[in-house]
Amino acid sequence: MKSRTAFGAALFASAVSVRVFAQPSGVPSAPQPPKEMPEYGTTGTSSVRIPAWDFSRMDGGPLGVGVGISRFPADSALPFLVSSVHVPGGTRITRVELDYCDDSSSGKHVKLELLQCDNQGQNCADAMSELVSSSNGCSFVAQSGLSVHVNNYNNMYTMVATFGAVDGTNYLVGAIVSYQLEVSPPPGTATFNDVPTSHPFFQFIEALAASGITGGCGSGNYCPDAPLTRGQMAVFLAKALGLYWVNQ
Amino acid sequence: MRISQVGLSIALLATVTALAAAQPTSASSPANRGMPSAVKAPDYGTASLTHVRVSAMEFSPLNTNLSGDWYPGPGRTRYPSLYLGSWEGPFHLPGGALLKRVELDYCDTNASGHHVQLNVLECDNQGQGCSPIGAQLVSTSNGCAFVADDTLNYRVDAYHHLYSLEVDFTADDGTVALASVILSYQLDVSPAPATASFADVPTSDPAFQYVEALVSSGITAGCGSGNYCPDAPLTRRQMAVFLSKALGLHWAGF
Repeated sequence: MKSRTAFGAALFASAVSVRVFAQPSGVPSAPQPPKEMPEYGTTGTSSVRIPAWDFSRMDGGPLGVGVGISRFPADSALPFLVSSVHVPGGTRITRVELDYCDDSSSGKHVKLELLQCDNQGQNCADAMSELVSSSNGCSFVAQSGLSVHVNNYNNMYTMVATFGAVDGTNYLVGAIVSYQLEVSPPPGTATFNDVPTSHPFFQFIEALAASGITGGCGSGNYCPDAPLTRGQMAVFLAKALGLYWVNQ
Repeated sequence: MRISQVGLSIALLATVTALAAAQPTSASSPANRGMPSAVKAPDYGTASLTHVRVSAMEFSPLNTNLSGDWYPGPGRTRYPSLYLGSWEGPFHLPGGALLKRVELDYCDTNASGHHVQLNVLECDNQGQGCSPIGAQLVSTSNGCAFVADDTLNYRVDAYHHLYSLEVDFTADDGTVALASVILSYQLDVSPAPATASFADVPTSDPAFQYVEALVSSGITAGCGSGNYCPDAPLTRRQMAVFLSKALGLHWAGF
């Protein structure tokens, strides 16, 4: 087995960014505040930015830093840059925005695609129409009204940026992916006797059961019309959020 | 602080292996890196399984020169074109989560037993003392497929440990390619503390563990006078406060 010490030392540069993200604020003492709550969004719109430096040049060639914090391929190979897309599974991507700087006067532009592939990166298909910059300096172009249902377990999502010129007139600044959380469609059969498939809240109560947030009120029932106590509320919320702290 | 720590890393590297000494140089010139760490999951999950993918492009080689050594394999996969050795991908999971499953997605057509391997590593905060979580996953020569370990039950502690995925290639001829690694986890509520915050929710209360979790998370301070009023009915007004605080709800413009 290779030396873990060497590996660990080499890993440290990346570990810095890990720790910035992971470390709770303040001096640790038991119990700790909840771990960082990554932004996850609601059924309202949430947006995640993929800045240019999160895009990789897969042929290993050089990347140049252009206007502001943008990037562009720094040789004449016209490669594509790719980035992973991390949004919560079960959400729906509703909008994608391409931010760019384009000073080309000859119709050479920055293009952005959203690809959906299988888990081995094969059989990729466009999940939206290609976004293309226009020659008007630093600006953006976006596609709204998308309805890409995200399945992180069965599909791999990739952003692909291509450049029409490598003369320093085409820059990628980044992409912004907007999404909404969604509650799963209702199953075909009911879990609880007193919440049949015809119940107005059937879909939502089934979602709680499938997520391990509730086991019902006993005897195969959920008691949907029973008042909720503050104690019961605490159980629902803590389970739903997976509240956790560091034990020293 | 950061500079001195990186310096320490360089010193350690130099004393251990000359091969790995290329890493600090490449790490200091991120503009030319072929594969930066990408956006991490705004993924939070529930008590059911949540999946996070670490794609091949998010792995970095530790012991090769970073420029010019990487080429696209089939589809969105990658393979080393010049040097063998390890690729590393740090991963971010919510602290307290239970890691239940790891899947390695690959393409492997090598006929001579050369394969792609995955280790999930847990290290201390200085990147030392690394040990594997679960068994090593190894590809087979059957084209594009996956191999998984479904038996994990590892609790993530993102404060005391750093985590990394280590992928090793034993051929650089394009016959073994990494597509991605999928981590599946469940959220979990902290074990109950030893002492109670509220007089009316003692350690023996069936909801004790959960009420304490809300307190520690700043979602509730009780109903006054050192009590939580666990048996009081919840009004819709109170429900709105609990939910908004718990979810950190915000709206456009903020």
